[in-house]
Amino acid sequence: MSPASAFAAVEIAPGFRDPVLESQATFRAVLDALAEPGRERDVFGIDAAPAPLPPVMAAVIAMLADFETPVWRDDGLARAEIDAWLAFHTGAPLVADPAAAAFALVGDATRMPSFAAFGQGTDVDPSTSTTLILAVDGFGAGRRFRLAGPGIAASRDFAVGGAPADLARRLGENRALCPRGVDLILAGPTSVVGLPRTTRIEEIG
Amino acid sequence: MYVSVKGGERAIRAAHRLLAHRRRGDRAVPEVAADQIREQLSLAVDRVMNEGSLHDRDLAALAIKQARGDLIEAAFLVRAYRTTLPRFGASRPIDTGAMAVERRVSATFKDLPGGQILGPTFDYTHRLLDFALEGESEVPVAEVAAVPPAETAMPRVTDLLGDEGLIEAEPPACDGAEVGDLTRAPLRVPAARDLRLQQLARGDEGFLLALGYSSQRGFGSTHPFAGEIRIGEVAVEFDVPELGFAVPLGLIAVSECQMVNQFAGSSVVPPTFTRGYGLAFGQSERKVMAMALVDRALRTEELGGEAVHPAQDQEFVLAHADNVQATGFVEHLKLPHYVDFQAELALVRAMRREHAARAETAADAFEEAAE
Amino acid sequence: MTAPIAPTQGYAFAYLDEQTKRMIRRAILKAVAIPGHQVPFASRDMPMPYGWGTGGIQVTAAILGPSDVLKVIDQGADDTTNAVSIRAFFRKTAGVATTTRTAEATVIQTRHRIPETPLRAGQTLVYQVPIPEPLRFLEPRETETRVMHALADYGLMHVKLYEDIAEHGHIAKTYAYPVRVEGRYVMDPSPIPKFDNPKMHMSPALQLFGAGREKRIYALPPFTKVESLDFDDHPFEPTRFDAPCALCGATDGYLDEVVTDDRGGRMFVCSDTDHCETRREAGHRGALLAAEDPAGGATARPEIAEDLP
Repeated sequence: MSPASAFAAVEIAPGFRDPVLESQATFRAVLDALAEPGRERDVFGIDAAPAPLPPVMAAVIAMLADFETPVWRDDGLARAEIDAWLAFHTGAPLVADPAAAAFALVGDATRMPSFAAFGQGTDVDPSTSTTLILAVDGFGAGRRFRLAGPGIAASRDFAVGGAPADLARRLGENRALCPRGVDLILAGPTSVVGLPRTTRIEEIG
Repeated sequence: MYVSVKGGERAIRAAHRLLAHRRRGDRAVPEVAADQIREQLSLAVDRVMNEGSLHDRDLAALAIKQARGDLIEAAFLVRAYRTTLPRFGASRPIDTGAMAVERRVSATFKDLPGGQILGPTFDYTHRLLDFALEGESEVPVAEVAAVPPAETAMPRVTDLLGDEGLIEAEPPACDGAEVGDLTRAPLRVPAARDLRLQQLARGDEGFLLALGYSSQRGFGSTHPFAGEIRIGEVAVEFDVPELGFAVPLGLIAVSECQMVNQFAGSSVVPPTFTRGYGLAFGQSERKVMAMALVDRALRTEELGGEAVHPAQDQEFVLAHADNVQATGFVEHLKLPHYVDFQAELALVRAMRREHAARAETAADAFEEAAE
Repeated sequence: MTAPIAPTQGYAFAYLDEQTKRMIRRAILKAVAIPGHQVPFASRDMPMPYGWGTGGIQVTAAILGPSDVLKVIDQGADDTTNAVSIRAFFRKTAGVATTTRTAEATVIQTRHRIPETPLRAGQTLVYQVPIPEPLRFLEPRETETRVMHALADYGLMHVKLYEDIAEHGHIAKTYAYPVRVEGRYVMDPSPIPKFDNPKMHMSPALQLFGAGREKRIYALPPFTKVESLDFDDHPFEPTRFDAPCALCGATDGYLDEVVTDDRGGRMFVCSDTDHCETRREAGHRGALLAAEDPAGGATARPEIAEDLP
């Protein structure tokens, strides 16, 4: 019996077809998204990822996570097939404590825990805070927000469906902690939008 | 006509050709082979493995050849190669107590279980150039007493002291605790001892030697005794979780120095000697002794002292021990800096003009006053 | 511009392995989220010496993709030896298209300059940084400077700059002139001349800074406020030049001083070779070219070689 056969019992869905180039393309989309908050950037999702892990979220976490980055996922995503997929494709330790997570996968953004439950970083090392990846319904429709701050020339309007009702309040409180605080990557069906801790946000109905 | 200082590609090509030509030297002399370096310049190979942070005698020998014998350049080549290697995990800790010892000396006890073994040392040679080595020489084969470790008990001197409680206990190994790796995570000070020892093991031998020496000369004295230096081969084993047992990967030669230093103690804790530790690949005796001195010096604050001297200063020592980093940054001064220099030129000229103007005004005022 | 080619076999794409790229990418994302903050990263030993661009090279390697067009400059020039060497490295390991034209590039790696051609949205400027800590020469200890940044305690820096004014009548800092990012972090802009500082402010391009030896990455997202430190009574003043470029006649760029003889002869030429060549292609001529060939018109741009042995 070979050592690998222990894993063969579980069927694991594929990840990136071309890990090098697809990771790079996904990274550039996420980089641009966080560099220009509120602007939508296309991402090719991993369609084969086990449901209910959204394909775009799957691509983002496959690009970012490895054995050095603890990953937290909400109840809806904490399923055996998803855990096995994450373990196989990223090797990331899965953690139950959101404060210990480098990345948090939130499948149901409307019921997500308070941002304060996640890693906030420290004043000396604010970069150690958790990056949240939220599944949303899509952009262009839904709640409308006006954004300002680094990455935005004057202001930028954007709309998102499936975000928590109190997103603006949460982000306002998060921004008050700056330079500490979490950063958000919103994963839609075919694209991502970034909302880093520095962005000022106002709901415009 | 203005001739620009350009044509970078042609210059680099020509320089690479000339470098290869100079490396080869006089074609009438046979080319040195990497295996000759590995076998006959083995201490250079050991140094390159240590400072290159990679145990591979053949690669180190090749690097020495390619670097024309520049050992820092060779370590640099090995480091850059190391970057491209996948990392499978950490081996089990090696057990130097089970070492197949080739050399073992203690300065603290005249005799001790297992005895003193001089081994292949320069220590008692007279440093007279041996002109017999100019040509090919017949070297008689020496008997190598390969002592199986199990049959000759050779306890570590620090263990002998430890049995009596005379030396501070080694901090217990924390099962499951990950050993730090400063090549995978940026080093932050204050750094734990595992990371400090890693940086010292990779660090420049000359730098550690000077620091250790400075601590002996009063810049942070630790009153050291060479408790034990042992050199020999140890087994490297790797845990394979799927198999449930450790797989032997092979034997490597290492040098270990346990320095026994002046005591610590308090009203609560009885006085004990303290430890300084050095470990390196191959026969690297000077390196591990200097390392042990510096390791102990870096523990000054932990042991209740005040870190005031260079060898005691973590940030100073850890930030400057790496010779590959140091050589790069010192040598980068060769790169063009004319943009910045131009900015400085303009400022100095402007300040000189202002200075001259002020002097002139002052002189005028003086003349007026004199009139 | 050169077309993309197949990368040399035997190397990972853009040299770095995927685990290393992921680690660097994570650091870049946090750097972008906290503009001006130095994010520690586990810089790897690269096949170039420390101090020669290992930080910039690792950042470039982590972001570069097959559709990028890469430009590399050192002191503003595409054809200085270190720029040639780094460009050839990425040509060999990633096979990306390369260019000397600022306008064509998607990724520009630079040492000591920001191009004169204004950068546009979608471009990324990668700076090579020797000492990322702007407070380093005031306080050598990382343990101290980390806390000063955490508390936004920059009094020491202001005292130093004010001492300069008292002593020299000027802030005696002509390059690596410190900036404040979005009113929060004081940041080292790398040793660019202070002439270039204003170009960082509200730039539409993404600016990434890599310090390999010091293991730090920091960033300025597009449209970020970047102010050079100054005082009300001593406002920041970029360096100005009295003479135009002798080759292209430009009066808007940073100039290199070239010593032409041993009798004090000097001339000034553009430090940004692309800027100078683009102007000459358009028919602009400085005093030197006009004197050499009064009838001449536009001049063609020299080819750059891409591959080194």
